[in-house]
Amino acid sequence: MNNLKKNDKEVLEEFANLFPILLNEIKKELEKIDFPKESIHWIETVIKANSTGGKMNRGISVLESLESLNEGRALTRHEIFQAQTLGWCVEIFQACYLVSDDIMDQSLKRRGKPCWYKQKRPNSDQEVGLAAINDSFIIESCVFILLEKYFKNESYYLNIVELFHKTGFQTQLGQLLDLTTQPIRGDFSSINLKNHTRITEYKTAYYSFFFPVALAMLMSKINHEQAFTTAKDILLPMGVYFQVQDDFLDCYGSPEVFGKIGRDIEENKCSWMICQAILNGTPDQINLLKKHYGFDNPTDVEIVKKIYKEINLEKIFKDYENTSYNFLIDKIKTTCIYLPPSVFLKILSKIYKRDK
Amino acid sequence: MNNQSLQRAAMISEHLAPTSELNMNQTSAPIKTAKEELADFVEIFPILTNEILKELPGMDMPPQTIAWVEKMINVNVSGGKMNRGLTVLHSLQLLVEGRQLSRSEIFLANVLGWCVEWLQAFFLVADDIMDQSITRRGQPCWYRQANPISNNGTIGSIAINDSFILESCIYILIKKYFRNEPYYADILDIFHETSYQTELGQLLDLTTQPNRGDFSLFTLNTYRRIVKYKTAYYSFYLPVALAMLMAGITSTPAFSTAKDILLPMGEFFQVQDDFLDCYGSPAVIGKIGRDIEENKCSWMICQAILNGTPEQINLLKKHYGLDNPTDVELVKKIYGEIGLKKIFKDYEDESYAFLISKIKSVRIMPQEVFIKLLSKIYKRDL
Repeated sequence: MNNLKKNDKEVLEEFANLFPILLNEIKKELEKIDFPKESIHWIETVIKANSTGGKMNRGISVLESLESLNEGRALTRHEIFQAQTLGWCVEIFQACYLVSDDIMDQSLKRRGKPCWYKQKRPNSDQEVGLAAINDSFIIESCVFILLEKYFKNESYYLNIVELFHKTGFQTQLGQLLDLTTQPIRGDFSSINLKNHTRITEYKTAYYSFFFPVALAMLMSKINHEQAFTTAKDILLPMGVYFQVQDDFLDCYGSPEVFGKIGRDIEENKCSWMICQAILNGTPDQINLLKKHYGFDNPTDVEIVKKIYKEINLEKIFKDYENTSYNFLIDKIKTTCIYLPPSVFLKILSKIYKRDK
Repeated sequence: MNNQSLQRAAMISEHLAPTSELNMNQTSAPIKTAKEELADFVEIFPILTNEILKELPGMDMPPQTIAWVEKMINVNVSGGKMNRGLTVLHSLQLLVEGRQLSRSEIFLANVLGWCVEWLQAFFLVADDIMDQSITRRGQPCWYRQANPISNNGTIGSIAINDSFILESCIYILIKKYFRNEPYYADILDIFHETSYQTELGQLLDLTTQPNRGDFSLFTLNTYRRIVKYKTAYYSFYLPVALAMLMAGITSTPAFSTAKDILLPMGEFFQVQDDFLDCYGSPAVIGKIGRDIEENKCSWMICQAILNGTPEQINLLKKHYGLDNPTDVELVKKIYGEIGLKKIFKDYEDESYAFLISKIKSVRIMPQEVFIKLLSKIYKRDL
């Protein structure tokens, strides 16, 4: 009975059950300072609406990584609780950036629902609008409140706070890269794989892949630089692979499964798809793409997709996926010296050949 | 460097306690004039900026991205009056009564002072977007400035991400300069806490934007709560609290005492701002006041509602919050009829007396810390 391992569904459920407890801690702190009820309700709604509803893979990864890093012994209840709490800090931290990214990108939908800034204010007919900027700051601050409350007495407290700061900075720089290398419509000079990889590493891969594992490493008292370098060398490429899948699904995924309507073509995005089309297309095809890419018009979009098909991007993606998988597996197998391969294999298994 | 800053700097000098020569030691820095202190503070800004920028090439950031960050920092962080930043050093000098600060202590106090300025910049950039403000310190708000990379258009909503980057700069600087100080964790926690308090204040402000003509939310209680959280914590409490941490003060009662005096002082400061928004000269306050046009929960309108006759209040409901010179003039006329200038003068004198009596009862730390701050803001018409 002691060796009975919880299945994935139970792990997810236990993780999900912790969220209301943590949210209540934030609420209690606000009640202590005699904050108005409507404002407390607003904050609860903001955090709940934007931190839940996803797959929680990033949050779950902290505990799963911790388990892998401590193979051969069962984690204590305290360790499990701390790892799950850190996992929620990761999820809430992500929510902060999703809210602000959606405003900057003028996105319409997130996880099948209107983006937060487009939703109605709690108890009001008015749209949240630009107040969502301050909401994203509040979400971020709540993370540090939770960290102080639950980790202040842990020996690794300062290390995890610093990692949250650094990851935030990396994500912000990634966003800045993305926003300031927005290609001019019809100009393909900044649309290339080097830019795509760099933007992806900073904007997504650090906080989605490296960050949860690094937190588990800190909890395990791992602190030598080489271990973190090794983790980075595997997890950043994994994050790039994940983003390439996202770019592919933006174009070819089903909106019902994917949770949003893809608009990379309309929005002139530096997507892996257009990068590959430029690399593999004929001069005529590239000229047609220059003429039609980046227009919010169904006819132009259809022409772009037709050219993608002519270039056979689906096969190019399938080949890339297999090549990436093999590359990652090879790299993971050589990491035994610093970190157990199971840390990375678990994450890879979740994203390989996903459809959403 | 404008005359107002120099006048304030001169005021500071008058309150510096004389230093006993018996306490001089070889590691202490020479005593400096307020003007020299200001120059020292300004001088380290490029050093700190460079500490942030020099990390970026190693993070694979292209030159135009680095140039963007540099310009963004220069435009938004320097250029203010720096009173909050300077308060850290001035408070520390008074807290370590009986000895001169070392060069290293002065430098570190000024680094924390700049972190406070960076924090303010983070909030101001974001506030200007949310308020759709037009100018800041006499130039277009950052989000309205020309995009330095694309040849057409403004920075626009990219400024949201820029405000986050300004925030991140704070923690880069704190880690670099304070990682080995015993109070490092406390500094991190107080910046996190103050950020949260300020954001909560902004939320209160954003959600107290009633429909025009609805005065139910314009109460002094609402006003005080907004000001306490949105401004007083980061403008008055934070700089002094940082100096206390540097001075090795750790007792909770000491920080509670500081809070009890500095939060009301911050309210007093904001009430002055609200008064000056309406009655101050644009040439002196550095902006054109628009609280009436923008339907703000200002101390002025709260007092007008408290003191006006039902007829006057009805007229205010009709004309307050409209961006129209005729409506604005009518509101100001009613303010004149109600005698708001005298109400403000009475409030100012009462606040001063209240703060002085509170300061005089402080035993847990030098009273001069608070007296100096109060002297900078009392009866300012700048």
